[in-house]
Amino acid sequence: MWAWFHKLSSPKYYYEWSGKWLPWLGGLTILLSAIGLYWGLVVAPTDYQQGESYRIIFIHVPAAWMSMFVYMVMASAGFVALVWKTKISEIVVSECAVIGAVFTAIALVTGMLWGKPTWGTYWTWDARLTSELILLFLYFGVIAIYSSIEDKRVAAKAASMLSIVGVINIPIIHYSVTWWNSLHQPNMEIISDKPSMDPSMLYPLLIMAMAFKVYFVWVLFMRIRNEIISRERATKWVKELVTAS
Amino acid sequence: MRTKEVSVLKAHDLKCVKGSTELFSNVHFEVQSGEALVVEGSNGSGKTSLLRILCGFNYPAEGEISWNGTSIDGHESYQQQISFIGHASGVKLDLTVLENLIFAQRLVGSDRKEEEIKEIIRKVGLFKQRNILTRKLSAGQKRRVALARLQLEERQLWILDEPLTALDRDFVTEFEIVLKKHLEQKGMLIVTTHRELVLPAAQMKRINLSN
Amino acid sequence: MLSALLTIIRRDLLVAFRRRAELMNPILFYVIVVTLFPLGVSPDQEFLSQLAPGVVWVTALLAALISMESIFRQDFDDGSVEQLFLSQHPPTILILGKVIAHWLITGLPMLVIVPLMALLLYIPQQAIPTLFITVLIGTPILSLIGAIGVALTAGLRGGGVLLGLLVLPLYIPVLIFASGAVSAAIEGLPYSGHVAMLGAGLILALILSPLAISASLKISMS
Repeated sequence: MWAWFHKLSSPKYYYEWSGKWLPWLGGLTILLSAIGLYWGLVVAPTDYQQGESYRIIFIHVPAAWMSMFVYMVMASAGFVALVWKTKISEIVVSECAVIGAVFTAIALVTGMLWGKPTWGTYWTWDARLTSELILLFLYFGVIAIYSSIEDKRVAAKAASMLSIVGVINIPIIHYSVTWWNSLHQPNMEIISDKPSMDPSMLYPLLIMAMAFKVYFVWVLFMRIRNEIISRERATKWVKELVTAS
Repeated sequence: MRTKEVSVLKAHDLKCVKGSTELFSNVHFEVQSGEALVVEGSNGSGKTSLLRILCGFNYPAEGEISWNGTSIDGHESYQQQISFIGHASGVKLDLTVLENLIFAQRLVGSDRKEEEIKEIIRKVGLFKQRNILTRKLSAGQKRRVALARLQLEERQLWILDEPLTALDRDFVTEFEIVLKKHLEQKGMLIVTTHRELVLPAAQMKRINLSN
Repeated sequence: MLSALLTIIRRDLLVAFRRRAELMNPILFYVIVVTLFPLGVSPDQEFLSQLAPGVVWVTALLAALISMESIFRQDFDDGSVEQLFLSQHPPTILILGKVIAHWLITGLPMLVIVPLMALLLYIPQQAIPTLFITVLIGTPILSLIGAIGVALTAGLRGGGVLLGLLVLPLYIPVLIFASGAVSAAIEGLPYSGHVAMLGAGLILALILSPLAISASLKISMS
């Protein structure tokens, strides 16, 4: 098992291995999204309290889950990058920062779009939205430090360090924001993703969550492959690849 | 303090990459106590990078470095055998010469009397300036403070990056005497320099990174 | 090890005192920014005293950010960072010493101006001890976390603003608990929970930061 992991850390082997997975990942993403969206947008019943506008949770909640998940992946890859110094883990860190920021932005925007019909205002300082916003800032920090260092291997190490510091802070930030929010807005616990949900709404949500996860892996693989080609452009195998196509 | 045993620093198949440029590869050498390694090469060939790798501040892209048989990677006590002078002299500009040396030698664990330190300052020709802020010294004088620090630290392996820049000619000779004495006392030296260093040929090895 | 810590603290304090003129700057900045609030919003007493905890602490975060720059910049320039790692003593101890020295110069003086802040922002007397406590416990946390950011960004362009982007989100829990404690004290409510959280944060930062700073310095050196 370890031998395989070790092999995977070579850019060339990773490129070949990931290429085989791409069509499956893409296909699965489209399939799951189609099922999930159809089920959620068309089939699932109208919500008792919120009417049709609640349907945005099928995008919002998976996006929010992914924003956290991707940060964990980024911090884990960061740990690997600092300890084992593999090129692939370094690329994963920088790519996850961008992908994670996008998921966070989607979660924020869909959260705001949900807010308007539900509470009459686009923005509210509730615990969830505020935590998402701070998460977005953390992602921006990682992206910023990565882009301000010229040597990309050193840049990835700095980004890794920051994401590890961030990951330790995230539970602390989350706790403090929740506590702060409970002081000032005791009644607003709006976004509930706990499954006190009717199964007819829960299942499409879980399918969409799966779809988002597969989509993440698909996009991550594609971006890693791009970065590998760019970084390894001087090597023989890349030159052969480019001339062959 | 100096050990009486012979130490060996070995480097094997070193490769250094900065960004996407390969600075040097296939570098091998071995240095023993009492020997000096002069690192030559054109500007940008990676001389400073090699020295910093030998100090443990950076990792080579490929290759191994060992000190007395053990890899220097994670070898904490290896770094404590090194005295390093890089492009910056490693002295605080806002302290006087004397203060800098007092603090520097405390950080290496010695606790010499002020008189001994003043003696070393005298030897590098800065006695009159001992209570002047390092900031106010000339570039050559700042270098001499670093060289005084070297002599106070009394460590086995001296890694010096262009130590002679800005030094005036007569002091270069003084310094070569200090280097010679260090080698005689079973010290080791790794140095890059643009000037020709006068050291006993038997103890000198060279490598050129421009190959 | 303790002597190494003290040596480093003494050295850094000596270096800082040689540049006496600059020592006052963060404090002056702090006072000026605090005065902007009544000028920009409202000098009304009730309003200001409600706003006070937040103003005091947001400004403290910003002042900490500005004064953080000094901790490692000089050391990268004059080659002292390399010497730190070659020293006889563990780098983490020396780094802790540097942060302590830095806090003595930038954080501790905040305590002196707490009474002035209380005056300008109409903070009631019963809340002043709490203000002292939060400054005493909170500012070291700011120094410890900020030093990680400086270690990563020293020598990069975009300096201060980049540092802010990295470090301010990490400061948020300190802000919430510190200003929360003062707010509670103003209203006569219990604040020990908030202070306890700050204390826990300080302990966590004391244990983890020197390691993080050391790793960050090594990354910046390569």
